[in-house]
Amino acid sequence: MQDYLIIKLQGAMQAWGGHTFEDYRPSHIFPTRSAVVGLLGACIGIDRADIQGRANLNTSFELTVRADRRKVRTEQFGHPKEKTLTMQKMTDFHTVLDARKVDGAPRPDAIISRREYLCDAEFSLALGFRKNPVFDLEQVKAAIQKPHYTPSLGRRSCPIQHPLFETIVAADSAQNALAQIEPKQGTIYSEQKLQGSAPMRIRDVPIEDPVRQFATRTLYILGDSYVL
Amino acid sequence: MDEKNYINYHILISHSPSNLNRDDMNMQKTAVFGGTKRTRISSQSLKRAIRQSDYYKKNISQPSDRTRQLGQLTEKYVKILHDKYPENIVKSVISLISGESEIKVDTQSGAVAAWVVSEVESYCQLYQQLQKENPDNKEFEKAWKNATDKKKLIEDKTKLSIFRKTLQNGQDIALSGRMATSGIMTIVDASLAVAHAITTHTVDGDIDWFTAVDDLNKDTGETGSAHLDTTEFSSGVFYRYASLNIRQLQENLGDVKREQALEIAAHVLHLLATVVPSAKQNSFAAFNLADFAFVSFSDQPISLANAFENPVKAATDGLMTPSINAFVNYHKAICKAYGLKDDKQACFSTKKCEIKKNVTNKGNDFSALKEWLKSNGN
Repeated sequence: MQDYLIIKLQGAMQAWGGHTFEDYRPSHIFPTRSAVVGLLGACIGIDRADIQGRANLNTSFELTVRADRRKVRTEQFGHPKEKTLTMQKMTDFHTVLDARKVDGAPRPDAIISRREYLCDAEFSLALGFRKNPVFDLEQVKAAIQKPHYTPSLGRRSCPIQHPLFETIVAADSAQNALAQIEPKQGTIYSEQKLQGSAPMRIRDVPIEDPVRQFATRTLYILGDSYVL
Repeated sequence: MDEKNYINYHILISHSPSNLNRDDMNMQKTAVFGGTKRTRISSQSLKRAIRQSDYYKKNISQPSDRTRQLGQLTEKYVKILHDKYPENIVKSVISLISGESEIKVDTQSGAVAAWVVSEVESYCQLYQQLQKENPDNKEFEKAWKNATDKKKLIEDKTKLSIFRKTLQNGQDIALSGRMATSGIMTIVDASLAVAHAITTHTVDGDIDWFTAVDDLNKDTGETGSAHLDTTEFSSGVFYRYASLNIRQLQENLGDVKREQALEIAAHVLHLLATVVPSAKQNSFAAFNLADFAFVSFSDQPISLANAFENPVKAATDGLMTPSINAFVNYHKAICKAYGLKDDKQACFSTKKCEIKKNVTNKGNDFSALKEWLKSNGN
């Protein structure tokens, strides 16, 4: 048995950036590890330039993400009804002057930048902390309840719509920890191999370097009937 | 010293038919929320309208000069600073900051950067002082590099604070932030986070089909129009949300007192409740003011958009009153569920609404809500 810190990421719009350069800014359909490290780092107050602090945070926990199969209560002709929400991707149109090319040189004309956002998404995160981590469960819990820098869901224009801290549960695995959390359904992205899961490589592990570059890791995806 | 660090702004504003923020097809920007389509005004659009408003210039500060026209900028700053610094110093400083080897009339920088005249002024002062101390050119270059090194500045908080103080005349940077630019300008993290505004209800846009008549064609017997096109429009109650990180704002302005940050916070409330983007306003003139504003001092910045996840439906009294009710009820529910009871909260509303007992109700007096905010919620 181990304690898991459960965090909810919920907001009308979210963006979990993947490989990007200026004009095209895609979003993954679930929060990346680098995004979660950045979000928690902001709450703790780790500075942008504090590479070591970020690295220490990155190695402190194991991350399991669930894309929640979310339901809202609504009313139809005076009767309560439940509606399942489907996460959708939206592309925002935005113009940028002097965007950089890959070599860093500016482009002469304004470019059209397309930025992807997730609408109607909600994620439950289970954080299992390693033995003797630099940042432990209690520290992170306190920080997300009283963040130092403003936390947001991938972009500054995507505020949180639900307190980040959900609860702490004891379980023998992250999967079983999430099974106790409403809505108790959804697709799981785990760093541990799960029975019936499919592997995926993703480049989202922050490395100890001032340049924003990322190492890869393997994720195991376990979808329910609601797979995105 | 355990003061609440975040101010949450929740605004409900109803726009008559308009097309305030468009995509590349001239259609309104939209979002899906609660499974239904909403009209959206992007945060970038809202922030620019706020920065460019007369109220902003009058009450907060002249916005920074966001430009890449370095030649023109230099001319402007040389004029403003000509009592204090000779032209060649201003020119050298801007050249050093921007990384351009020479500033000519038509010099353009690589990217749009946010410039503040007082910041340039403080660098001029540094430049003059270092020149005096180091008459030798090489020695001077070394000293300048040393004094303006970004990494060292970040490590030396007192020095950083001196440079940040110069941003007091460029408060849009302290509010909206400044990303890494070329040269030596310091990076500033935004203290104000603005969300995309979305309608509290489902919106199906209407298409306006329009023609333009050619006046000089009439005599020839031509009856057709000279131009035809369509534009999308709709009306709606928008939920605007923003949060202000007070400590960050204080820091960005060179460690000013909390009262000074709160004064700016009160102006931000005014701007969020009154400023409307300018797009298509010559054809629609949807210059509306907010009917409802709710402000809280909190440990966490939390948007209450979920009050409208289940889209509000129009009642006999329209969409605003049911939107206010949905907000008030959801606020009660979320406070109860998460025990957010020690937040200081106040609201203003042009319509009657039943709020919780521990919320200070300023009735329909908007300026009273501003005062409340300015005086730290007392």
